[in-house]
Amino acid sequence: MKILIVDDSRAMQQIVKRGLEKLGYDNLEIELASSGADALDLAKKWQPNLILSDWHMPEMTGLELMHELSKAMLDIDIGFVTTESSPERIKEATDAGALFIVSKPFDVETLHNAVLPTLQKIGIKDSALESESQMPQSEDTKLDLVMPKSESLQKALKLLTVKEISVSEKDIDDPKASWLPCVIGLFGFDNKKNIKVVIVFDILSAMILGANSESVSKTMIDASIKDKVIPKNVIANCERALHMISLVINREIDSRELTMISMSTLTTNIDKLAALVGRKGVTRFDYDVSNKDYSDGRIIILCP
Amino acid sequence: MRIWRNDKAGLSYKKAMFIFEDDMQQEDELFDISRTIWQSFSSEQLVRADCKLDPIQTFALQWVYCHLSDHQVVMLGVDRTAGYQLAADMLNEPIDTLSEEDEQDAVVELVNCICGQLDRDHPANECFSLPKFLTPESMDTLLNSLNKLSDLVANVGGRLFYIALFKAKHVESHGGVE
Repeated sequence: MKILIVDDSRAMQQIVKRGLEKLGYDNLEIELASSGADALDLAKKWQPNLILSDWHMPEMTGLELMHELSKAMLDIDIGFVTTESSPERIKEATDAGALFIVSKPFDVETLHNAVLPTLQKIGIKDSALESESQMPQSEDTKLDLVMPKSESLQKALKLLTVKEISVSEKDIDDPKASWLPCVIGLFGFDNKKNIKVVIVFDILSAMILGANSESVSKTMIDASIKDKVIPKNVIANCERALHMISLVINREIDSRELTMISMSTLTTNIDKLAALVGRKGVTRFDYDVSNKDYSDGRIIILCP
Repeated sequence: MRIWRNDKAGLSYKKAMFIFEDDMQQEDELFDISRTIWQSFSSEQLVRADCKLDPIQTFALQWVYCHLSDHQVVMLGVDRTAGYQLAADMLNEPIDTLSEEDEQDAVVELVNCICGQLDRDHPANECFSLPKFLTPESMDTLLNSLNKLSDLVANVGGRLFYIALFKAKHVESHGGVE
């Protein structure tokens, strides 16, 4: 995983670098640039997965850097670490495709939450789903999960959205190609790798739950559904929704806390999704999620 | 209790201002923000001192200012040794390896973060400016154009730290001070 830090302050470069190193990821490569121009050169040569940039820099601002990266056809995730907080600037940045804005000074957890979707996307992609060995094999390790109430889910998810949403229980269906791409969160206990709960958002529910800021227009959501592409900023918001659902599930179970093992997207392989949700012995709960613009989004909670 | 209002006294002041019922609350917030941000970067504790300081008489400190809006300015004075300690903590490098540029960079980032937090807490619908260093001459000119709203003195490792919030005496037709 290659991350480029861009800041004209050497002190801030080091603080961001140490923050990333504290996250404890393996194979984390970090490069530093002190100007937009240097960053652009380095991005072309080094092809980082993620750029963490300051906003205010002499000669080239962080936003101008984003535009230059786009002109150079470099498909690199970018987020800002900045003191900038004006809603207009934040909108400019998110409209231009910035994944997040972390305010200085930040704590490690905030930085982690911001970069996590990119790190997970780079690190695991769909591979976690292929790893059958991660699934618990013996019946006695299975979590005895009671179906979370749709009202509880609705109340929790409402905290993340600006629009009213409704969540209701739904009959189980066979997976459909129209559900793809899906966002999938894998959860286990106490940071262990055994998967105890899997939460799936089909593209509609991902867009309903993830495109929750006013900066994401209906036109953009329609285009994403038509093109079957979930934008990066929506995936980042879906991670929060996945966490929120895991908190609801946590309330149903005793003492132990579910933590996210990984998040991934499943883009084209419906058979893989069918294998996941149709696995023998898996407990499955389905929900419909809707808002005033979209209905029939599907949330699936699986207990392998 | 904190109050938000537009300044009715001057119609040219259309932006929300950082105004409290009393100076003490404003000082408390300035101190809390300064301490939180200082201590997020440095192991040194920022401790409030029960004394006053006149910036114009205190050239020994390093002075930086930043416009929160067209009509509000934050000014910070910090002892250079404390500035070097801050830089050492931010860079995680020994003090004796640091340059003056490193020290100034650290102080500018400190002011930038303090103003960023004030801006987040009291959005003024304007971009706050990037911090700038003050010479004794430019400080004189700047202070003549400002009225002090609140200030406080603190100690950091036995060194002086001063922060103040000012309001422009007059807002020019373009809305700025200086």
